Amino acid sequence: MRKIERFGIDALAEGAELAADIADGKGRTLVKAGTVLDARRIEQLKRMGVTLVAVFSAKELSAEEIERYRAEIAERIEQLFGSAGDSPLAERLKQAVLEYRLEVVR
Amino acid sequence: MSDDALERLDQGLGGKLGSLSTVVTELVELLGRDEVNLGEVERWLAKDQGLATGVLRIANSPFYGMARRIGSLREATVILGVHTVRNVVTTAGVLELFGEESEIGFDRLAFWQHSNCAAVAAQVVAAECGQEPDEAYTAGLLHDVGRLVIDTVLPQEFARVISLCRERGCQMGEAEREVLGFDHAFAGARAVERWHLPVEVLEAVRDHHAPLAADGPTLTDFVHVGNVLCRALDIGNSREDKVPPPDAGAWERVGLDAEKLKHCLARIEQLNASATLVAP
Repeated sequence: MRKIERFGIDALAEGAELAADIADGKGRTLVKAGTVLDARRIEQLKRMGVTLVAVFSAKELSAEEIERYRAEIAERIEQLFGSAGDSPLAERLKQAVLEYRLEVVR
Repeated sequence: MSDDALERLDQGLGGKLGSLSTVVTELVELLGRDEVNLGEVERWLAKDQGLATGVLRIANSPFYGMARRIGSLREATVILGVHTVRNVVTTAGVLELFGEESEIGFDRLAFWQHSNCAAVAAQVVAAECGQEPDEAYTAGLLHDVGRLVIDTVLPQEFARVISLCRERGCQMGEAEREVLGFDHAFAGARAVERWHLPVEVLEAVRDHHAPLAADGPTLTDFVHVGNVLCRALDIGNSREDKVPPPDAGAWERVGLDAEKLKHCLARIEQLNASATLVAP
C-alpha cells in the first residue's frame, strides 16, 4: 500500500503515479488512475488547465506504516468533524468519509 | 449586531466593491435577452481585456469538457450556450472585484481552492439529483464570498476572527458573529444583493449553513451539501477550517444514500483534480 498525496501541478515529480481518474465536467475520463506521469503527460495536464493532482507516494508502506497511516487519516477526520455537532447525521457522514478515505488507500 | 462593523460593511459595499463593472452588467443584460446579438456582446467584452481573459479561462476549464481550446466569447457562446456564458461572465465579474493578496495574510489561495471544490461539489450533488448543474457551480464558487468582503472591508476585525478560531478551534462563523455581530453568509448575501445576481444564488450564499425548509432540493441544499463534503474531503482547508454541522433537512431533500454519497465523494475528487483554479 502507498500513501495518496496531493500536489500542485508545478510541484509534481516526473514518474509519479496518478491515484484517481481525472475527469471532465461531462463525466469523460481524461486520464486514468494508475497512469505514470512523465514529462509529456505533466505538460499535457498543464495545457488542460489541471492544477491539483492526487498521486501515490513512491514508497510502499510496511504493515506498521499502513497502520500508522490509517490512524493518521482517522485522526484527521476526527479533527475535521470536531465542530460538526453530535447529530446522528454528522456521525453517519463522518463514518462514510472515513470508510471512503480508507478504501481508496491501497 | 455591531452597528459600527455593519456600517463599515455597508460603506465598503457602497464603493467599488458593491457593483459589478458596467461591462459586466451590460453583458449580463445582453446575454439575458431572447435574441442575443453576439456582435454587440463581443464589442462590449473587448472593452475589458482582463474580464475577457477571465471568461476564457473559466470557459476553457476542463470542468466544461471542451475537446479544444475556446478562443473567443462568440465561440464560447456557440459551444457552451448563452446561459452558461452568462454565468461565466457573472463569475468573472465578481472575481475581478477582488485582489490576490489579503492585507492581513488571510490565505486566499486556500480560499479559492475551497471555493472551486465547493463549486464542483455543488454541481456533482445537483447532477446526482437530476438538476441543472450550471447555477450550482456558480453558487458554490461564490458561497463564501462574504469572507473576501470582510477581509477587504474589515481586515483588522477579520484578523481577530481568525485568531479567535485558532484559539478556540471553533467554526469561523461563530467567531465572526462574536467579533462583528454578523457572519460571512450575511456579508456575502449583502454583496450579492448589490451585484444583482439571481435570487437563488443570493439565498444559497445567505443560507448555505442553514438551508430553509422546502418541498424539494434547492440550490441552497446543493451548495450546503457540497460545502460539507469539500470540508470533509479536506480540500482547500486552511488551518482554521472544519466541517460545518450538516443540516438534516437539506440532506434528506438531497437524498444521498450510502452508495450515492460514495459516488459523489469520488466524483468530487475526480472533477476537482481536473478543475482549473478559478481565482482573480
